[in-house]
Amino acid sequence: MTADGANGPVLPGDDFPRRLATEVGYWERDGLISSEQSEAILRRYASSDAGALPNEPAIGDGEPAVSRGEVDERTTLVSRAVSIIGVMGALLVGLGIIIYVAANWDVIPVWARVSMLVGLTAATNVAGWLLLTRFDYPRVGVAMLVVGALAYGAAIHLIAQIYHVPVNHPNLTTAWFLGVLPLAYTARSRVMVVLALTLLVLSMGFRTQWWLESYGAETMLLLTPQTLAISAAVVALGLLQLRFTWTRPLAVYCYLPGLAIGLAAFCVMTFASPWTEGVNLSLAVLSPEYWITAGLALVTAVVATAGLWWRVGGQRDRRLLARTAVVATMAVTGAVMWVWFAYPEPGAWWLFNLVAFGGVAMAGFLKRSPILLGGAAALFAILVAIRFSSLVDLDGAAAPISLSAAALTAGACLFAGSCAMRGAPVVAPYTRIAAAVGLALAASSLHVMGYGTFWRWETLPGWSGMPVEYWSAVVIGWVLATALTAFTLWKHGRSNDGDAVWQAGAVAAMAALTIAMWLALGYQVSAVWSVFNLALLAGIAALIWYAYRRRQLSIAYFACSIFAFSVIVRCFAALGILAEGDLLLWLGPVALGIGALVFLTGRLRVRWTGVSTPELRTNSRVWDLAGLSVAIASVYAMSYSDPWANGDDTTGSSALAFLGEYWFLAGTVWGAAITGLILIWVVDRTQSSPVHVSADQLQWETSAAVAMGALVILAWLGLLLSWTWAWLPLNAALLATVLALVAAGYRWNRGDLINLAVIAFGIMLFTRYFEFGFGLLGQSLAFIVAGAIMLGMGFGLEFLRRRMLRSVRVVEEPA
Amino acid sequence: MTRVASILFFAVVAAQVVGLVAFAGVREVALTEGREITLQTAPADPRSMFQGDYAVLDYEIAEVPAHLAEQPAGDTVYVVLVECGDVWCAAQHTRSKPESADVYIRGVIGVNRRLDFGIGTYFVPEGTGDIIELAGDVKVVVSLDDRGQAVIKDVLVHGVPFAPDRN
Repeated sequence: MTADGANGPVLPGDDFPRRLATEVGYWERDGLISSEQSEAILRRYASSDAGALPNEPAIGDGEPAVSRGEVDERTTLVSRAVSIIGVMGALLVGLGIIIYVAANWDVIPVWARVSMLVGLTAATNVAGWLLLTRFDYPRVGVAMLVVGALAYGAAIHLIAQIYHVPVNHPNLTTAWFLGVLPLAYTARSRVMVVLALTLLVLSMGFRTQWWLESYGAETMLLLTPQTLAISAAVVALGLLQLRFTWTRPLAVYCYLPGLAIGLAAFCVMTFASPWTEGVNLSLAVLSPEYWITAGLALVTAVVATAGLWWRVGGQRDRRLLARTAVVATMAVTGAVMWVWFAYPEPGAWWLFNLVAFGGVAMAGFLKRSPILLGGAAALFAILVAIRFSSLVDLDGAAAPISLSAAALTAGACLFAGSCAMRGAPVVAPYTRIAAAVGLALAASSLHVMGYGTFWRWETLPGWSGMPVEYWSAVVIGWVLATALTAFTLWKHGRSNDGDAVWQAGAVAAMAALTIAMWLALGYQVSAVWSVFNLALLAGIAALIWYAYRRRQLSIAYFACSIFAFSVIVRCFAALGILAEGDLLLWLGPVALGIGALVFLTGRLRVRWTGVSTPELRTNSRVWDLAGLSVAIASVYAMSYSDPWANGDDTTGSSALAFLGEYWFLAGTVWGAAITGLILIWVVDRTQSSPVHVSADQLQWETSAAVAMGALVILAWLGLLLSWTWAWLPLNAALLATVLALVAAGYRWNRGDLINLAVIAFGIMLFTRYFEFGFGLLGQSLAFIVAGAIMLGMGFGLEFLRRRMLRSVRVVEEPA
Repeated sequence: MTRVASILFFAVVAAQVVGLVAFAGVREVALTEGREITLQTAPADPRSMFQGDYAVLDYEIAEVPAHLAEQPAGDTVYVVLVECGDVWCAAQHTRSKPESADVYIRGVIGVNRRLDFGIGTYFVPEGTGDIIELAGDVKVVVSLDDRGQAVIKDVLVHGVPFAPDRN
């Protein structure tokens, strides 16, 4: 709150200064620094959090005496929980308000609606600011600012709606962006900066729509140079922010999204179709507005880069050159594209493939950065998935087979990338997941290619039947996978475990299978399908052998589950009697059972291995995350209202009779899950595991398992008794799961659970917002109520955090 | 936070409120002060991401005349209007602003080769868009200011102002 502290490099709501104060206290006590130095350090990082503490009254007796270190750890997690729950609540309330506007409910008169929203905009902003600066509730304050920003956008669109301003007029989202951006920087909020940049992208999208009526490939082509110019400006401005104290902590939230926007533009340009279809494009169709925006963006990029050089002063090093080069690449590529429009060159898409993947991979090699290398692989895997979905309209056998070849390429890339990322900081817990996803992709492609029907179906397309993009993607994919494998062999090849050799062998096997598939397609050998089945079995056997050699139970389990899934999917393909919505409803409980089984097996495993080393901790987290995400996904699949309301005759009691295999399968899965839970109880009661597990932890695990069981019973009862409302408690359960995950993350000091909660919430919010199945008014009410509850929870947690901080004073006062 | 940041913050919030009120005010003035005319249209019924259901209004007067067919998209065209029966029709198209004595509307040539007058969208309460879309005869009452800028005042479905709760 003090004036000199406000200029420090600390954002409001950041816990760092308080933790630093604790540490600096220890340094001073141990004689590492003098008291003047400690004061100078604390002054530099002073913030409302650290400054407010000493003056606050201490809380009375009855508070448990906790050490400062313990409180630090717990308040940090509470702070994260408050930020996350608060922002989630704010997004829900804000989107609810926007949906309310969209409902255009004419029961409330126009003037009342306008004054309500304008008043709400002002009130939430002022409340947020006061919470932020006067009352020391920084996280809830930021959440209120987010509500204010969304209410402002809702007000703009409401007025535009009342006076029938043409739909999606780009000036609306631009005005929204211009209103939010300055607030983001005066309040110095990371969330608000990201929100403002999202609005910038949105307004750019609406602008294209405004300039060009058609959404064809040429639209993307014309948009790209301008997008590149704007992202170059955003990146340059973001880098410049590093040089000012006030904005430094926000810089990364500016230049990373900028890079992402630029990279996305590159990725659009890697497709061949915009280039071939856009040959006859004329620059004349572009309005002056387009050129003004692009020109302003380019000038901004140049000025910001010049400012960067000027602010750096004497320290002109390689990093500055590299940063300038990134900005220049984006800006110059944009400018060169305009020249291409004037002198059309349909083959230019190749260059973009090279820059997008080669650039990221090359940067990874140069900086020895496994994260960038893995990033290039992940980027490519995503792109292959998008690109090949456009091939589905090929005739007959070509679609599934070419899709599965894509999956094999993407899988090999992802697997090779995750192997290359071995031992990297930050991403280490996720490399195993990425490797598992890569292998699963490869396995599923072999599974699909193993269907004899696809190969016997009509005629095979042959090589010439495949579009040029197909060949570009697979060739790039395999070059990338080979390069990454070479990197792994070079870096880890001589290590004792020999993992790199195993991994290279796996990639080589995938390459051999891809070549076999091309040969079979080219020479029309339809009898080849059995080879892929054998290859899948051989792969599973190799995984189990590897797991046995390395004593890695989880890999053996992974191999077994691939086998099980393959068998189950073939079962259901043979059944093939259910409509899509009903199929999801019936599959949900089985998938939930598999999730519960994985979760409980992981929990059982922890009782023998413990989590004493980082590797064991990562292993146990992978099990928890895998089990929980399968469980959440399966509940989500069942939570749509439509199939429940409009189920045809396979729902209801008749299902019992003709789904014999189904009940056998479900019974096996759930029987195994229940056995797992019983085993956990037996182990804990008899204390036969080497690791001590608290009763509290057992309670959490049991309630998670019981909750999953209860949801399955609800789903089955709903299906058998045709409860059309069953989706309602399932949705409530999803929201409760998100909150429970945040609570568990806080209780067990597990950031990964909080991350899972955030991701699950984000996906649900996004998909639900665009699901117009139920009425807008109801949807709006649900969003606002759920959001208000979460905002209230955030407020309560912030209160709790302050109490915890004050309790420290009680303990330390006597000493 | 510093005083400067505080002042900046409240200034921006105030600017937001003033901007919103001004936005509503300008449109309101254009609506009430302008000259009222009626136009013939043929609507369709989609839904927007932020604003809900609306009807797309395509006007009879939006046709680009033969002598302007070569003009690129984005060019401004003034359409001089005359009363023909109960609606107003296009009498003449000019690139420059007509005499102020005439009644005229300002349009821009769109990429779809139709004139865009900025009155192509009519927002309706949720689920009522098909009333407009399925109606055979839809006319729009617009308010015109002296620069040719149009604002939608009312939509007439079979000659009756559109009000879904009255249907």
